[in-house]
Amino acid sequence: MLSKPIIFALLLAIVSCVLGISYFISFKHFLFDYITIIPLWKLIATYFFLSFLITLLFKVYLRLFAQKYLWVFNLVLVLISFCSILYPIQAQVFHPDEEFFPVFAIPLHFIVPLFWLTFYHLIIPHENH
Amino acid sequence: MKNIFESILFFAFLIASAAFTFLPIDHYIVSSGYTIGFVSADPSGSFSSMSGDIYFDDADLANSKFNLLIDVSTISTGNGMRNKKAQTAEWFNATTYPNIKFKSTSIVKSTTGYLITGDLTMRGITKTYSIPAVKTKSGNTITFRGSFSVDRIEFKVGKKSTVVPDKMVVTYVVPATKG
Repeated sequence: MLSKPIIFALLLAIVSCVLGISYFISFKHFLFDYITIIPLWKLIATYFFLSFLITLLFKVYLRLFAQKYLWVFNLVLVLISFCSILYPIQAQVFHPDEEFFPVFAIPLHFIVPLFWLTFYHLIIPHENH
Repeated sequence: MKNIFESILFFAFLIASAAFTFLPIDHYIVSSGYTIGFVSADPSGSFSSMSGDIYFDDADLANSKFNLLIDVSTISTGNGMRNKKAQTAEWFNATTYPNIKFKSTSIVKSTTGYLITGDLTMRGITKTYSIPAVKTKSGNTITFRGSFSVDRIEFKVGKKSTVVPDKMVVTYVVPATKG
C-alpha cells in the first residue's frame, strides 16, 4: 500500500483541501464570507501542516508500539479535534456576521481527521497488516 | 540514501506548511482612537463606538475587505435631547436598527490613495457608496482617513427639512491593528 509517508501525507492533504475549499466556497456563495478571517491560503497551509504532522506522529507511534492499540491513537486524534472546536466557539472575530462564525469554522476542524480515519490503514505496513 | 532524501523532503513539507500556518495574515481589527464625525449646517456630531475588521493587502486589493459597524446609540450631537431624538423611529430607529454597517465590495487605488466601494446600510436600507481613503502605516497599525457625503434622505433618516440639510459630510479616522 502507500508505505511512503510523504505520498500518504500528500494524499491526505490534497483530499482534505479539495473538500475544505469546496465547503469554503459554498459557504461564501450561499451564506457568509469569512475570507477576511481565514484566507484560503491559510486553510490550505493548515491542512498540509496537519496532514504531515499526523502522519509523522503516527509513524512515531508505529515505531514505539507497532500496531498495538491503534484505536488509542485514533481516539486521541478525535478527542483533540473535538476539543479544538472550543477555539472558534470562544473566538472574537469582529465580523458583521460573527455569530455564525462557529457554524462555519467547526466543520473545517473535522475534515483532516475524517479523511485520516478513512485512509490511515493505507500507511500501515502491508506485511504486518 | 533514498530514505534520507525522503525524510528530508517530508520534513521540508512539514516545516514549510507550518511556517505558512503560523504566518500572521493581513487581518486588522479596528482599534481605539477612531473618530466618525458628521458635519452639516445643523446638526453636527459624532459616533463614539465602532468595531469591525479589515483584511488589507496592498498587493492583493481584489481580496481586501472592510467590515465596519457603528453603534447608533453612541451618537453625540452636543445636545442630550437631540441625541435621544436621533435614535427615535423617525430618525435612525436605533431599537430596530442598532448599527450602521459598511461592507466593502471593491477597493481600487486612486490618485490620492484608495477608493473603497461598498454597501452602506442604515435603517435597514442599503446603498452603494464609494469612499475615498488615505492610508498611513505605523508598525502593526494601519490608519485610514477621509471624508465623503451621505444623503440621509436616501436612507429615510428623518424627513426633508428646511432646518436639517439632506447631505451630511462624514469624516472618519479608522486605525486598525494587526490581530
